[in-house]
Amino acid sequence: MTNPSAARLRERFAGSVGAAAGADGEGVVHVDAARAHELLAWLRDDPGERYDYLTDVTAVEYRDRERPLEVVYQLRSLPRNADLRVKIDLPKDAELAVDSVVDLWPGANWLEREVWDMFGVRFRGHPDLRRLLMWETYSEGHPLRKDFPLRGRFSRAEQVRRALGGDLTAHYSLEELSIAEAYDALPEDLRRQLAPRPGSPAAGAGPGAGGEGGHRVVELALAAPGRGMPGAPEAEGPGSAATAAGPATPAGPDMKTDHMLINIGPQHPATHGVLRLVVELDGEVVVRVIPHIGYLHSGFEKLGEYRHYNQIIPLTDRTDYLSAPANNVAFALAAERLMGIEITERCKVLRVIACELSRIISHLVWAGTTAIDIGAFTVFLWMFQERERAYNLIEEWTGARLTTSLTRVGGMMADLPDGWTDRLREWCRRFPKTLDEVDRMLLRNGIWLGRTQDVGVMTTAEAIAHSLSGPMLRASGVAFDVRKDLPYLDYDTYDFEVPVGEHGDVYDRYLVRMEEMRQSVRILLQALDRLPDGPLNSADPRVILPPKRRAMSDMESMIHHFKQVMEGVPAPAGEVYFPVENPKGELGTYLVSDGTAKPVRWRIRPPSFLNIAALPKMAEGHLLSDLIAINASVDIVMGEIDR
Amino acid sequence: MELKRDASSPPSTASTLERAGFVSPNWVTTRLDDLVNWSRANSLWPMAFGTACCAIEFMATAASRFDLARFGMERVAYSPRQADVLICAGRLPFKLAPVIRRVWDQMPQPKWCISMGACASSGGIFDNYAMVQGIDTIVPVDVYVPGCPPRPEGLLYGILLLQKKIKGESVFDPGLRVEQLANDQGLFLEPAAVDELSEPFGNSVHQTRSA
Repeated sequence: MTNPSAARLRERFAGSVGAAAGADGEGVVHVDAARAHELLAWLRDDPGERYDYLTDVTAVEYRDRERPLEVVYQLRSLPRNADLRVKIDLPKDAELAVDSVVDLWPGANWLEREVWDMFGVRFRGHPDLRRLLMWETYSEGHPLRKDFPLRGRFSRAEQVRRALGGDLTAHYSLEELSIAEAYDALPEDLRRQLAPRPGSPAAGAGPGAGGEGGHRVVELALAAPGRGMPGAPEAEGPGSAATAAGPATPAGPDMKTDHMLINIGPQHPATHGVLRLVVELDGEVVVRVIPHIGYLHSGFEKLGEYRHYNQIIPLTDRTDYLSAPANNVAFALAAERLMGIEITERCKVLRVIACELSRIISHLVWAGTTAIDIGAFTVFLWMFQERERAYNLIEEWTGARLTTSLTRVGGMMADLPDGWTDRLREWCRRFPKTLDEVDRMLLRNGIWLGRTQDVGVMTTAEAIAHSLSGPMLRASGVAFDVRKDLPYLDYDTYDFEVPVGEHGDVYDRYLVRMEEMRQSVRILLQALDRLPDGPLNSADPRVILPPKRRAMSDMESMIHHFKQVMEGVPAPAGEVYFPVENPKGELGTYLVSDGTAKPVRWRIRPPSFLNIAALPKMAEGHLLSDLIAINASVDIVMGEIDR
Repeated sequence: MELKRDASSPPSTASTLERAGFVSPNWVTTRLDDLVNWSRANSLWPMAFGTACCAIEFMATAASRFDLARFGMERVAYSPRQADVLICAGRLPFKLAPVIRRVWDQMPQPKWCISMGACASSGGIFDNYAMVQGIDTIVPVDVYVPGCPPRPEGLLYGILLLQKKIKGESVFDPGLRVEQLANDQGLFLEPAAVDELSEPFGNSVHQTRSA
C-alpha cells in the first residue's frame, strides 16, 4: 500500500525519496540524508501534511553487515490522524551523521541523544549531544551496535572495577550546568573539587562527551547533595552561556545573588525511582533543572535481539513494572501484526480486561505516591489497599502479582479461573467508592489545590511539540487517545469517554487520571458483559504449541513442540510499529524482523521517557517544592525510561 | 560481691568473674549481647534502595496489608546515615554501582544488607553489558531474598532471617564488621572471584547468539 504522503514527497523531492516499503499499511519512505531535514520540515509545515507530532526517533542496524544503518523517524499528524515513518539510510563506511530535528520538534532532544548513545549516530546541530543512558566516560562503545557483544567488551571484574574504582566522580560530570559560568571566580578549594576532566577516554565511534557545544566539562564530588555553589556576579566573561537562561534577578554590587546547586537523587524518595535531578536554585526558585537518567538502564532492547518473540514477553513485564499486563499485550499485538496472526474474540476481550486492570493499578500507585510527595500519606494506604485487591485478582489469573507474563504470541498464557469474572465485577462495584473518598479528601483540601493548580503548566502547543502522550497530553487539552484514534482490540466498539484537561497543570493531570480509572471500570464491566466463550488461542500452528497430551503421545506433535520451543517462531521479514495506550501514555512497539526467530530490533517507544524529558520546561521558574509535585505528576517509571 | 583473696596465693590465670564463682565465664557478655541484639533486631531502620520492580513489592510490604511496622521497620530511612539495613530492591546497573557503594559507606555501623530479588542477588534475567551480576560484588550481603520479584511474605521472611542472624551476633567479636577492599583497585572482591560469581549459568549460556 502506498501512503499518500509518500507519493507527494516523491513528487516534491524527486530523486531524494526512495521506495516506499509499506508493511501492513504503514507508510514508510526512505530519504536522502542530505535533504532529510528540509523534507521533515516540509512534512511538519505543509498544510496538506501537518505532521506536527514526533512519535519516535530511533535507529536500526541489520545483522547483514552490508546493509546500511537506518535512522527512523516516526511521525504523526494529530489533525489528520495519520502516521508516517521516514528512514534515512546511513552506509557504514561513511560518517554516521544526520541533521538534528530538535529545532523542528523539541521532543527529539532525548531521542536523538539516545540514538547517539546506543548507535553512535551523530546529530549535527543538536544542542547537547551527550550520552544519555550510559555514563559519559563509558568506554565500551555503543551497545546496540551489532558488533557490540551482549555482555559488553570487558570482563565482569573490569566492568565492576571501572564502575567502582578509578574516577568515581566521572559519572557525575555536570558540564551542562551553569556552575561553568562561575567557575573562574570560585574559591580555590571548590575549584579543586570541580577540576576539569581531562579528555574523555571514550572508545568506539568517538568521544562520549560533547566538546562541541562549548560546554565546560566540570565535575562535582559524589557526595554533593545540598552543596552551595556561590555564584560570581562580577566574573561574567564571554563564556557565560548559562546567564541567558538565568534569572532576571538584578546583580548589582550590593545585591550579590548566590545560586545554589542541589542534587536530587538518584536515590531519593521523591524521584520515583533512580531519577537524578540537578537543580540550580535562586533562593527557592528553580532556575534550571537537568534530569539525568540511565541509572536503571538494563539493556532490554539489546536482550530482545537475543530472544525469541515469546521469550521477550517476560522482559516486557519488567519495563513498566507498574502495569505489566498492558506491556505484555502491547508486545503480543505487535508480534502478531508482524507475523500476520489473527487472535480469537475471547482473547481480545481478555486482553482488554488486562489492559484496563493494569491502567487502574498503575494509576493507583501514581495517585498514592504523588499524594505522599505533596504531603497526604493516607491516600497511599488507601490506594495500596485497592491495589492489593487487584493483585489478588491478577494473581489468581496469572500466578504472579507483578510480573505477569500474561500473553503469548497468538493467545494468552492462561484462561480465567472459575468464578473470576464475578470477583472482578464485585471489585468493580466497590473500587470507585475508594476513588470518591480520595476525591473528597483531596479536592476539598486547600493545600492540595494550592500545591497543584497552575503548577507545571504545559500548553497544548508545548505538549505536542515535546511529544507528550497519554494523560500528560490529554491534561493539556489534546483529545488524543490511541484507543479512540488508532483503535486496537476492538476498543472502538466500547463505550467510554476520554477525559481532557483544560489547563495542563498538575491538578488537571490528577483529574484526568482519576477519571480514566472510572472509565476503565466502565470498560471492564462492558468487557465482562461481552466476554464470549470459545477458543482462547489462535488456531495458527506456527505459534501455538500443540496440547500437552498430544505432545506426549504423538511423535509429530512432539517434534513440533520441540522445534517451536528450541528454535522459536520465525517472523517474516518486515517491520511494524504498533502503538497502544498504556497508563503512562503511548507505548509503541517497533519490531524489525529479517526473517529469523529473533527480532533484529525491538524498540520500545517509552511514554514516560518523553514525558519526563519535558520536566525542565514544566518546572523552571517554579519553587523547589513545586518541582517535586510536577515530577510526581508526570507519572514516571524508571524501568521504562531507562530500559 | 565481695572477693576474698589470700595475698600469699599465686596470681591466677582465671578471670575475676570465674574466681568469683559465676556459672559461665561469658555470663555477662551473653546477657549484654542478648540485650543489644534484641534491641537492634527489633528496630531495624531500612534504607530502601529501591530501583525497579522489587521496589513496588517493597512498597506493598510497607503498606497496610503487610505492614512492615510490625517488625519495628516502619521508619524507612531515606538518609543512609540514619539507617541500619540496606535493602537493595531491584536490579543494579553498573551506572548505579558507585551510588550503592557510596550509600553503604555512608551508613553507620552496625549495618546489614538484604539483597531483594533475583536481579540484586545475581543479575537475574539481565545477563548483559549493563547489569551488575549480583550486588555482592559491590557490597557485602547478609540475606538474599529470591524471587522476581519476591512476594512481600518473602521479604518479611528475609527480614526475620536477618533478625535471627543479628540475635546470634556478639558485640565482643572484633572481626564481625571488618570490611576491607580486596585490592587497591576499589574492588570488594578479588577480580577472579567477581568473574566467577558473574559467570553465566543455566540456560543463559545458550542465549548469546542473536540469530
